[in-house]
Amino acid sequence: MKVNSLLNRFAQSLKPTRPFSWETVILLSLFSWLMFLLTGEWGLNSAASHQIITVCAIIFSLIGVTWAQFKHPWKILGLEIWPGIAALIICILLFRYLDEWLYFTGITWPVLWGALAAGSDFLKSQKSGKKSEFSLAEMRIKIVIVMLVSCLASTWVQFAFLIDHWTKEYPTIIAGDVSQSTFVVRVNRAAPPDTRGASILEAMVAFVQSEVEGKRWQEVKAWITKLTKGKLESSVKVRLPQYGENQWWELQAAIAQTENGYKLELFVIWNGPQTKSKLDYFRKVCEIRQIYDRRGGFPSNAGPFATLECQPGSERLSGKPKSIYNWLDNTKFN
Amino acid sequence: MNPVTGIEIPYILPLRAFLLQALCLLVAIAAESYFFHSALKLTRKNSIAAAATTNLFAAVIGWLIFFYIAYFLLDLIPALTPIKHDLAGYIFLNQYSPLLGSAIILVATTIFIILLFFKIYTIKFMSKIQLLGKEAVVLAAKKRQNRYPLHSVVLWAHSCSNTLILTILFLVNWVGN
Repeated sequence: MKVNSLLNRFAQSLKPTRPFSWETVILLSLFSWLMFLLTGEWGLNSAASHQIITVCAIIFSLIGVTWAQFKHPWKILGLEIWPGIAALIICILLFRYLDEWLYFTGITWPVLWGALAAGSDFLKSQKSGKKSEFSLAEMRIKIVIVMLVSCLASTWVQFAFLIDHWTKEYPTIIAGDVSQSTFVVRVNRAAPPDTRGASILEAMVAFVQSEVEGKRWQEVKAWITKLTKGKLESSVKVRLPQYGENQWWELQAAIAQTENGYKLELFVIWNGPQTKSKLDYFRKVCEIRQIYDRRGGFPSNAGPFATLECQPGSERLSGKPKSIYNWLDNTKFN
Repeated sequence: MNPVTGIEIPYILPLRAFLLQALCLLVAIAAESYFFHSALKLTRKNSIAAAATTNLFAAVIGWLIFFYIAYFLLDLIPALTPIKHDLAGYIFLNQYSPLLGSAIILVATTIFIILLFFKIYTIKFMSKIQLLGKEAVVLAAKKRQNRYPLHSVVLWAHSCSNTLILTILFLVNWVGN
């Protein structure tokens, strides 16, 4: 009995005072959202009825929220915020199926907000009946300024997306210290790990390995003789992901001939802008050796083959890279 | 319904750029509206409206041109690629190469001249469609002799506001370093 009366009271409080009111629409939208959840639970996500229910739910929410806010507007610093809510719901309605919905919502929301605010101002002034020339001019200038401010906000969002795009293209700069910048601040404390130098070094080793490993010794010798710095750089950079910052990475190698093959020192040097005025580089020592017994059962009289062995790469080193071997460009082997 | 996934918190946001532009716009609007009020004899409200409209309009168009350059032109023309890299270094680390420095000076001077004419014509247009009050204030200047011509007033206002903005930028760079 008690539960019943409680339920009754709850139902009474939910019941709209009049059929034609914003409470009705809000209840409709709540009902649609419930149905949306239920049909989603039943696995009908792609069914037409589910789609229709979704659109209904969004449109009812839009109408209900806008209507309610028209009657009892919430204000922040004297500005009504319902145009923002309505614009957000419209954005969800329009862009929810797009992959880049966040981007489109971001750049559309401020403009829609401004348009709705300006439009409602205009309608209100029409309604209240002040039609003197002066107030109309004032209204026009207000609409123009509101629209311009919202367009400016939209371009700001676009700029934030441009910066985000560039952070992906210049990962090494982002991993560094950006506190000197006049334009950007770091908001996410966890900076992305700075692995670009090491991964370029890996790509370099992979390139050398593909040219050397298992090849005949004569071929390898000829290849090393012809190898120049430019050739090395261009053929390694083709294998890298095409970032804008690639041109700031300089690849260099130093080579020395030993009795059993070659010693190879690989360098990856950062030449781009950075906060401290020093070069950063990564270094890795490798060795190309002759072997006579190739795994796989070749007869040993097929001549010597080459194999590549590398030590683990270095951490980030600072200063100017030095090597006891001969730099690649100014050496000629026979 | 697209679930709210795939939102990564970006590592870097251009919040300082937003603050800086807001500050520069406010200063420019305040300075220019003073000139419009005292020399063009607009009402306070209308002078602020004229200054705000021209400056905001210029800012929005400037952003659009910048986006066009940054997204398309810099990738389209290979000769501009160094400028793109320099621009990234400038935006993220505040270090500019001589190339970018001369480009900035050239572009800023061009923008200054273009904006001057843009502002003159915008204010003329605004007063023509009677956005600046009932009396078509600016164009009626000839009738009353004690008014300055529109061109020179806008030139004064524009140079003054740009000088202030330049000062702010210098201060920000010095204090920042």
